[in-house]
Amino acid sequence: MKLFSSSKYFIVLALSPLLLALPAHAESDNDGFINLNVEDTINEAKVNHLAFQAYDQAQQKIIANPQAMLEAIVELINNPKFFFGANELMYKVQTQYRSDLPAGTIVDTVLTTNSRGENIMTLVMHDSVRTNPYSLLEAMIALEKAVKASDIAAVKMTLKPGANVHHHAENAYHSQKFKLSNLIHAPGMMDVISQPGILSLIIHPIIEQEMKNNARAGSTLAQRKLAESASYAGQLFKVGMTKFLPITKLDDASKKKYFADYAKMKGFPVSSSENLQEATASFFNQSDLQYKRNLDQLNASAKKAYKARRDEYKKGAAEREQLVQTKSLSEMVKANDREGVAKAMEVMIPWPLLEPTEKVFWKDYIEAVRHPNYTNAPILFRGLDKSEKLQSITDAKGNVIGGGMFSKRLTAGSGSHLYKLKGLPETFETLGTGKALEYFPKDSIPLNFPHTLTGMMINHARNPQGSPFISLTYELTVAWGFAAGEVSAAKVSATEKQLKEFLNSNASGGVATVRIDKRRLLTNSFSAYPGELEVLSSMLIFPDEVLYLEKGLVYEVDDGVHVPKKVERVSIEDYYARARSAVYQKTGINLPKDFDANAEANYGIYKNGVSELTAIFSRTNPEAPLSCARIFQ
Amino acid sequence: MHKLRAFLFCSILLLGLWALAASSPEDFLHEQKLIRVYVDAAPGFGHQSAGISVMRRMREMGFDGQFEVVYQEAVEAKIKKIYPSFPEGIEGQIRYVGAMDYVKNFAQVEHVNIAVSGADDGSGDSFRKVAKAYTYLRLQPLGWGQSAMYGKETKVLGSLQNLPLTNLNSPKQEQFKELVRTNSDLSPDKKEFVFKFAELAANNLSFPVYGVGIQTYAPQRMYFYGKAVKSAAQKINSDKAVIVPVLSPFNAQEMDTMNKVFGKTAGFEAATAAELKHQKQMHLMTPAEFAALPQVKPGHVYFVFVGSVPQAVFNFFYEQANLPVWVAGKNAMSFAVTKGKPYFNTVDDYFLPEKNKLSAASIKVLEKAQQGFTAGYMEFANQGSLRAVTQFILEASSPGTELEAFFHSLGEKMSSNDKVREGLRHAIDSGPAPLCSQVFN
Repeated sequence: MKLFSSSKYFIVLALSPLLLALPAHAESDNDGFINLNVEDTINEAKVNHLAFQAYDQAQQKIIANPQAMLEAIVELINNPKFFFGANELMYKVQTQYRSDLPAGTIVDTVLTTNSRGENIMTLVMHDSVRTNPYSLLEAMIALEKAVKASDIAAVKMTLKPGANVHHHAENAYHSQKFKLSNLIHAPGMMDVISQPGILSLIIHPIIEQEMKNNARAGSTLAQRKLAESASYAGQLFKVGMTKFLPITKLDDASKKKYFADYAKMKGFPVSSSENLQEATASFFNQSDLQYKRNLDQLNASAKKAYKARRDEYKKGAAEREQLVQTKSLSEMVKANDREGVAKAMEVMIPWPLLEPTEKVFWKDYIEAVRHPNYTNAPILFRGLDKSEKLQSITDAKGNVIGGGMFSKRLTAGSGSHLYKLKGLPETFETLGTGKALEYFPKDSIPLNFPHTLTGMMINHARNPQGSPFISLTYELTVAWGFAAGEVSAAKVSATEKQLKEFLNSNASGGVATVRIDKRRLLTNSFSAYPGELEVLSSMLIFPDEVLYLEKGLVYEVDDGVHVPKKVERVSIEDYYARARSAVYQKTGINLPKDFDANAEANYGIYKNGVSELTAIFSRTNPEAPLSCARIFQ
Repeated sequence: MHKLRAFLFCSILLLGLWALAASSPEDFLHEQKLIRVYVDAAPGFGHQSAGISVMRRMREMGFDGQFEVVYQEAVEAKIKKIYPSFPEGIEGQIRYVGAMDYVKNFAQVEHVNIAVSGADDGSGDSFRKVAKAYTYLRLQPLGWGQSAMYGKETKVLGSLQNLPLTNLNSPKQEQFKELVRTNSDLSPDKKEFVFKFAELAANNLSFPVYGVGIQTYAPQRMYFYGKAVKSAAQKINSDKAVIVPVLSPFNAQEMDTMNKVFGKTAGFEAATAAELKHQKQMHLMTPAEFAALPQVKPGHVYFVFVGSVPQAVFNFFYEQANLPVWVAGKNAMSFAVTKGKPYFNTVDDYFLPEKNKLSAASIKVLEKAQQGFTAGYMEFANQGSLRAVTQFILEASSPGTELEAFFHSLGEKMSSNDKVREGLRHAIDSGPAPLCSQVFN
């Protein structure tokens, strides 16, 4: 039963306690938000009611003092009673006020991890945000980009007079939806979000953090994209000024005073003799001109930089060709030839095209291939479906006793595995930019949207076609869901010999239990499918990293006439027991007895994936000061 | 007294039954004295404009009685812009009643045989209960929700699904000019522009733009599209200018951004020579400025910010277009489709039945252009989308191409019938009138 529908990052849902009176079979679904069965949702209803209370408290605070809205919203966002399950934010939000921000800076966002391992998105703001509504507006736009605050809403449900839930079911309730954006009129994406295409102007908050690091590390492409994004925020500010509650409630004299103060802080002072209309026109003339000049300059330098990167990449063509013609990746992997694989990857990875964060990750990757280190390496599962191209290792009798695994990037299409790696630039430009998503233009290029690790991870979870990653999970049941093989009816009723053939074939599916150096993994904690507890392994898995492999566990019998029938040859419990034993024998690690407990034990590590990623980001240029270097003193 | 009221009411219903038994929608309309029209509230002008379309269509079909327009007060300002002689009305032709007043004086509201709405997906669901009509026809523009008929019973009119709301006859040039001349809702400078446009349209290229004023990035989008049009026009006929009536209203702040994006504000000129050339050949003008132009220059694009106009003028611009038109939402799209015009839709919504009968090459041109139109304006340094949009404009506007024939034939098919006519036919065909006793239940 689905309890909650989701918005992009979170959804808020609140019910009246009256819902507790619903009969077990009753459902309420007044506007598509909920579909509750009371029998197992009484507790949920209590939680939801608390969420509405939290929302209402925030609303009252904002009505009493609109200038304090940002703090009220942040408090609400961080309120654990306000978020639910899969839609939980990937970080908490904190505010910090300073008087010594760089000239012209009103707000910056910084993603960090605190000593308790929690991810924190800090809005570092100028002191004036507390008192000046124009500064507050700019801060609200930053908050919007970080958490999409304009989506905050709550639904209060009350029983209609004379209605009876036993007779009227969902019609017994009057539902009232409260939407924060209707109260505060903060400029959000709401006015533009429904328009296709505009989405590519909105940068995912983690991608934005990655781009900031890349920009600081010298990527002109990232600098250009961020400048474009800033101009977008400038447009939102322009639109928002006319509607934003803390501004509209002021008289003209106060508006003029606060606006003049704000303009001065931004470095575009306006004359005191100007009226408000003239002052805003003067301000936007100055700020728009700066956006334009900055963007013009970055456009030109980004074009040059991009061309230089492509030229540099082309220089390696002969070396790549020679490798493709002389080496076999499959043989190297089966032979556990780590040095050979590391050298091949060094040649094939398109280094000149990579952004700084990508370089950090792939350099670590090469090092981890060459010299694996299993300290704190997690134990993970992979479901092998019928399309898996297992790099099988067999015993003298021809039985598959293990094997390595390749990503789709290495197996999809024709040509040798190394030949396919010649297409890596396109892989980065597709999966790393969002071109894989339908709302992005198909012929988008890094000049428009530089690729990022984060983008590649998000897109892999949506569609792994052509991806250099291999999906693994802490959750055995998830791997099990991907483990089904397929067999024809003729073979199923066949002899033992034919069954063995089937088990040895790729079509039989299976589950592998693996351990891989952490430097070759990316924890996909902001996947759109957080329930999968997905961890991405890069490019390939060596046979010695597969601790336990069993094939043909679950398969579908398809006689071509009837609906395929699912057969479970081995139970998930039996598989886990055997895998657990193998893990202990090979690594000394004692997994929990129950596979659900194992997944639960690793949920915290999974959630911590953002901090692993920010650690990579921060290594792009460790010597360079952050834009707000003293923020965390 | 009660008997008298019951008698009178039965008489009205019998009259209704007799009226609905008329042989054709035209005959039926001819016999009506009063038709109630409900105008719903919603963003944009689509709902209100649909009401006007329905009324115009009914007039064309022979209705010479009075319209009673019941409107939601929330959209009064919009109605004022596009409805004739609002709020005072025109004696014997049209009268206006706000929904609140209508409900307040419900007891005095006249019974009618038919009430109708051109677009109703909001409060209209309540209106059907207070329509005081033997039949309330809830029509919808092409691509909206289901049309329905409320009377003795509720009937969803599924057969109307793929019909345009109305098929309006195009007035002859002279008729149209007279209509503009006598229209009191059109300012003198707009009238002057319309006349100038009518004079120039035949020898130049044109297309109207509607529905870009609600976006943060409307100017960037117009600039991008302007470039594509310019390139295509150069290939279609380099001796002609392109005239673009912009029918979305823009406020001063939005125009300020527009001027900056098009490089009309000092300091905001493009950084590259190619863009500078584009900017110099694309003009942003008021209707008065355009009307005062001695001549238009070949290869130049003139965006004329006309803003909201009466529907007849709006339709005129769309009918005159010889380049793909720019629409937003379903109502203007419906009109474009009916007139066989290729189009781009701001909200990425396209009604193109039988598209898959086109060749693979044409489908590719069409789809790439639609995608480019949607996202191309934000693609820095990528000419792919610009080329795709240009290619479509070129093909869809050139006689003899598959795409041009496709839109032309679509227009012919769509203009053979409409929802107003078909809806009325359903109303006429709908069974006997209810018994008096049921009415008073």
